Amino acid sequence: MERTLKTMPMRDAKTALFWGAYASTRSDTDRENETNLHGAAEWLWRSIDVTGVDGSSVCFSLYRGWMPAYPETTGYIIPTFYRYARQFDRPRFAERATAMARWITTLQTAEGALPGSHYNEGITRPPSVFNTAQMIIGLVSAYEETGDLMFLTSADRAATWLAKEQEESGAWSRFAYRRGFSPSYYTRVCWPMLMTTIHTSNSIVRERAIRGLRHIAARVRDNGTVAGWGFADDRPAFTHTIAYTIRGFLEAGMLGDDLSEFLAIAEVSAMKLFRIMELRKKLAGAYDDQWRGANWYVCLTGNCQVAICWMRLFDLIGDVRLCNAACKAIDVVTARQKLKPMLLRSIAGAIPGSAPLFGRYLTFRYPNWAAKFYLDAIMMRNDRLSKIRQHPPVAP
Amino acid sequence: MKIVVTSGYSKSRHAIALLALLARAGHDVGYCLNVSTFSVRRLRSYYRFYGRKLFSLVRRRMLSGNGGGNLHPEVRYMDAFLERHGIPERSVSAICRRTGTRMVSVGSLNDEKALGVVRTFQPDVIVYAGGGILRKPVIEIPRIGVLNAHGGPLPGIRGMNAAEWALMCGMQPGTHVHFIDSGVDTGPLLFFWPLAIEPGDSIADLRGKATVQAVECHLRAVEMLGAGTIEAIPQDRDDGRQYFDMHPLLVGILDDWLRDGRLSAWHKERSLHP
Repeated sequence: MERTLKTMPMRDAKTALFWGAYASTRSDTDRENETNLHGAAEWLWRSIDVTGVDGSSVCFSLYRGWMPAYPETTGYIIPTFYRYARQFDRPRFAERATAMARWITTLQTAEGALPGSHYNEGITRPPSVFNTAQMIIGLVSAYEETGDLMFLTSADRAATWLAKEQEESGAWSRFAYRRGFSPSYYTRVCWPMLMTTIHTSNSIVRERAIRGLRHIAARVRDNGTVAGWGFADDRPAFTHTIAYTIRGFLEAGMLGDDLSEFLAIAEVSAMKLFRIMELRKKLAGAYDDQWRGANWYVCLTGNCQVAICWMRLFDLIGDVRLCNAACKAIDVVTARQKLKPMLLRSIAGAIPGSAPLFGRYLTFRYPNWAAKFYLDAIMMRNDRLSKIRQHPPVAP
Repeated sequence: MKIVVTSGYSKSRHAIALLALLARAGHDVGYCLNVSTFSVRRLRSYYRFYGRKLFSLVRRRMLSGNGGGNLHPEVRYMDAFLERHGIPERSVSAICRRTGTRMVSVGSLNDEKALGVVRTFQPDVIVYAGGGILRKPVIEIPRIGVLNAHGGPLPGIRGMNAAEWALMCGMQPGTHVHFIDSGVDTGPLLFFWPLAIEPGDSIADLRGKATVQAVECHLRAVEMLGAGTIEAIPQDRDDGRQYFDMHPLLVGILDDWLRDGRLSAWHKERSLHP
């Protein structure tokens, strides 16, 4: 038989590119990477089973095994589960998401704050600005899904606490991950605050969220980097926190015409990463303030998050190149997911923090948010591809 | 006209056709700069992209015979084109031997060896038939310029997989002949030759047809430049966008559009076909 493109056994996109030709692709892009998707979802499900509560384990560590539940990321896994349940008709995931949201409400203090760090029975953790905001995402999502006012009340109380804790400058120096350091990825604190106000019309929360965003916008450099968008000011930022910052600006900018100033900021940084991805064929694990990358490893969750930012930007500006780059960034992550590992069943479907495993970001660990953002990225990608497929092409 | 032809690899049908037909048309094709496939630089960039997987890919390519060349869709079209024009050679070195063109193997089109050849020969035109990005020192040598046949409409679609991106963006695919400058497909434009989409075409077919068309456009451009019947129109660098290699999922969508006839119907509707 003559070897043609159709008969050539191409296992993935990279092989196709190597041959200077194309793999024959599945006609239904809605189902692309479905096995990988279900693998990640089931791994997240197991990450909740192992904690004994309705919170997802922070990660599976190769040297410590399953770790305790992590309220912060449990919060933002909730919308992922709702979406997954809807898209694949798996109602048990929606039920579990609601249970996770209920569990979060049990952790809330009288002031409305939510705790930082891991959950350990009987230990009270101090509140955390960033973690509280991430849990708001879950609470608002639970309210939107179930209509249960308890979740909205809880989200509003949390957002009000955030507004109260904000300084006049728009920064939050207290209850931070690093004492006294108000990072720029707090755009992802402002966005959930704004998200809450869509339902509550709480003008103080809204005004403080915008103040927070403007405070961070003042840190944007001409080259599109943002001062303080990493875990520390003096170190390169992981793509994980870079994407947090961009996404915060993007989503906030989409929530009102008066907020569009933040879209332009997000666009500059996202387009810079897009060019890096296309020219270097991958994203580095971290970037310094001159976009010099730590190219020896990839922060896999960062890859998914940046892909999500590109796809959100595509929704806004319709530039198909962004979806194209997102597909490539997701492929890098898919290649690192083991669905049938030979030794450790606990990592089946999980996404490592770094590639290689000894990379700087969450070395030898499989965090729950990597699987969460991977799920989000694939569901978003398939959705965008379906839209592109259905609509006639449009000239730029 | 004094011409130098570049070639991206030793079995480039595109380069073979150009070398044969330019010589047949009576041009002085002095040199062919053939970029060595196994240059350290090229291998390093492949390794950076594929990692250890590169070794199994190379092994598979070697086992497939014919350097894997018959896997390229455009090869079918180019082979038919070569047969039509009575060109039996299937390697750049063989056609160079027949036409009396000196083939020089180089690691890069910008290295000292390549520069030396072009400086010595002082061509009127370099016809670009692959071999990587050209830098300013080479671009500035030929009297008229370096010709490139770009696979999509300029300035709208710059960069890679231009035919595919043109289709994706609802623009007419075709070959845009232009001079190369230091930017990505930003040099002065000569002419655009549209590519017709026929029912039953796949993306692979379009790529094959586009390669043949690129050869024809190159020949036409050389004739017109020699006769002085064409002038280049400068581009605005700020117009258009640079595109990169298209992901197979998007290529799959294009293939589906072609299969269900949407693209040919859509193009007809807008009278984009010549």
